[in-house]
Amino acid sequence: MSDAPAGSSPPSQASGAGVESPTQALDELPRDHTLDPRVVAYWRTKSTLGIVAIAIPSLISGSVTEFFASSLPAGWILGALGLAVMLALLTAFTWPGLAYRRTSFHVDDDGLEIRSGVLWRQIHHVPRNRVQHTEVNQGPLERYFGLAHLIVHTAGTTQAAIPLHGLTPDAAQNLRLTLARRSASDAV
Amino acid sequence: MPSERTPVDTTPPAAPLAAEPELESPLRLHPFSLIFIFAGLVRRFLVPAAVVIAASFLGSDTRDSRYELWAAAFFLPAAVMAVLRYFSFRYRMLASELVVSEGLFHRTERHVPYARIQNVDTSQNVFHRLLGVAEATVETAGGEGAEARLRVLSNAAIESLRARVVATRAAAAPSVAASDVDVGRDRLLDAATGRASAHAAPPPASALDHGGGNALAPDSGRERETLVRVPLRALLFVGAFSLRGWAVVGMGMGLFWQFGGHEESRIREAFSWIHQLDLGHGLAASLKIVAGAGVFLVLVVALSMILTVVRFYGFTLTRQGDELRTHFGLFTQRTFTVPRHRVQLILVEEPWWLRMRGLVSVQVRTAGGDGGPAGRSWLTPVWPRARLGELLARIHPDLRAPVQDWQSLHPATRRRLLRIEFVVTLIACGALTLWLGAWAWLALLPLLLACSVSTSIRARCTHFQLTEAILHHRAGVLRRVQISVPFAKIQSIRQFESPFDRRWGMTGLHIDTAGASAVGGGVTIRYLPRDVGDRLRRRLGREAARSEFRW
Repeated sequence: MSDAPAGSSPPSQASGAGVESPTQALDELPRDHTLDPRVVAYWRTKSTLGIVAIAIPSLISGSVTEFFASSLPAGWILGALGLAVMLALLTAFTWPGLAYRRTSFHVDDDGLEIRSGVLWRQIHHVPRNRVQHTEVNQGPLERYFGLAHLIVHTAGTTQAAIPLHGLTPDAAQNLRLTLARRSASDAV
Repeated sequence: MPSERTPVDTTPPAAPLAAEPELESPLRLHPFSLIFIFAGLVRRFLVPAAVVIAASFLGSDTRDSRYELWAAAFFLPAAVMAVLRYFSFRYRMLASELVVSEGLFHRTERHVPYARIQNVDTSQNVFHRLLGVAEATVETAGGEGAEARLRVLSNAAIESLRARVVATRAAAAPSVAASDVDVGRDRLLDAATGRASAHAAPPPASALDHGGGNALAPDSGRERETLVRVPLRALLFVGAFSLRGWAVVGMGMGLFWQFGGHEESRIREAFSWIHQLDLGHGLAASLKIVAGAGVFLVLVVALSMILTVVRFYGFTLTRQGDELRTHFGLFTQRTFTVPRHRVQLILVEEPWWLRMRGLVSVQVRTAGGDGGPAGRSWLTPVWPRARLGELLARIHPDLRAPVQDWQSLHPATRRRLLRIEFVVTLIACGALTLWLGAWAWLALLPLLLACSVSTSIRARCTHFQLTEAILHHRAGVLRRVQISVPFAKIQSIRQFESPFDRRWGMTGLHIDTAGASAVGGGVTIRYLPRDVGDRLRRRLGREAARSEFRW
């Protein structure tokens, strides 16, 4: 992810002239970051728990329907449900690895850039002085895996809150402070 | 139709700083507030009850609406509460903030810094005007309704509040004022024809000081210049194509269905006159039907025109320094104030009926309030396209020159759109086969031709371009919309790619801005060539990071 100046921008502005923010913050973080690898296990657990929470009631109700009121051949409903659950579990197991490989972020003088998405990919760019506030959150499952997530708030509408999952609490705090410092340097 | 068109507040505001000490003391709402509070309560409690009583005397069935009688019992306590609330309401205009305190048992004190106020809107109905008062609404960038509602204040009190807000804003945002150099000549522009010369007033003596001047100085002492005045015939033209009349017709139908005809027989009864009409036969009958439809259309269009004129009569856009102000209304007159640097994006809309006459309409979006009443976002409902640059230059200095060398989308956009529509058409024809049999496939060729033409026009009509400080996007065929977003108002940029995008080597960008509604902010540009999208994202990100965002 090179930060080559965009071809369409005037060359005089390409070197970051006119940016008064302290640059020492740049050295604190390497330019390109991946998430903490534990996030793969976290995502797997989270989706598995979700699937189980849906699968158990539906399997129970499926067997009840089958037992009492089904006109379908025996085992159809349960078979279909079981297949769906197996597929979901398979996805829950393989997808996080792909998502982990596809997610990265970096911070520079222009701001924070987050890349994510396996099939539907996206790059979120938050200019450094548009950060309104940030929050670091940690759910119970995240705490178990030693992870946290950062939410960057802007004054925008559809993208007013931009989350970044799968950071260690330290990295999240570090990133939060870096962003806060950068936005503070441009405070009105 | 009253001939009075002058805005409520033509008097130049008193020097705001000099009046400070006395304003800092707590102020009450205007005593006439009590009149309007009572009027509102009567309308809410007593009128429905009266209607129910009248209806029961007339013998119609009111079993369902008896509870409205009970509502009247709450009139007295509500009135007592309202009066007490009036006496507990205070506001103070301090040097840098507006403080509103209210509440009987649970007192709240709200501090609204002037620098955070997005809009000061006022509304005056006929009775307000007779008594020289108005309702004022103060909004910040919360998006969740108004920050403070002051109903009602005297015109003078509102003007001093406005002056306060504008003075703070002008001092806080010198950048826009400083770059606004040579567009300050006082002129009256006729929105319908653009014939400025016909109405041109000689430039006032103060015209020259717009050039240099101290940009930091609040502009409150300056002459207010009129940028737009929409004549009646232009409003009638806009009204003819507006949907206001149709909305009323739809609402009438809804009410009828709700209250008039629960049972089928009632509906039949209501429309029985149609059966009793003696239409005759053949050509005569069809002519009569066409004539009837024509009369209906004319009536609805006339209604639309009347409603538009009632709402927007005497539309003017004025500017005083950094403050843009629209004022309009026949009976209820509204005044909306938008500081120029609060404009998040500028929309130039050209529906086909305006384009036919070489006209456009211009709107702006701010971050304040939740949509607001109709017409708040309008800078002008109608304006000659030939003079667009002249008007836009007063809103943002970089909008003066027309956008040149529009950039196109990915060259394969048309093919991609066509492929999507081709698939949709095939599915639709397949579905029609179930209903019409093999005849459905006769429609295939004309449909595909139509798709081909429409996709090619759509792909060719979507453009974007960057100028010095602004991103422009133009799209739409029948309703062409040009959106301009100053770099300084960009909140975040999202580049997105679906698997299909990747196959075509395309990418899309969404540029988010602050806005009033959860759906309304920003611009989306799809079907960009990948490298162009990458460059655009980086460039916009860098430009945004370099500019300071102020609400």
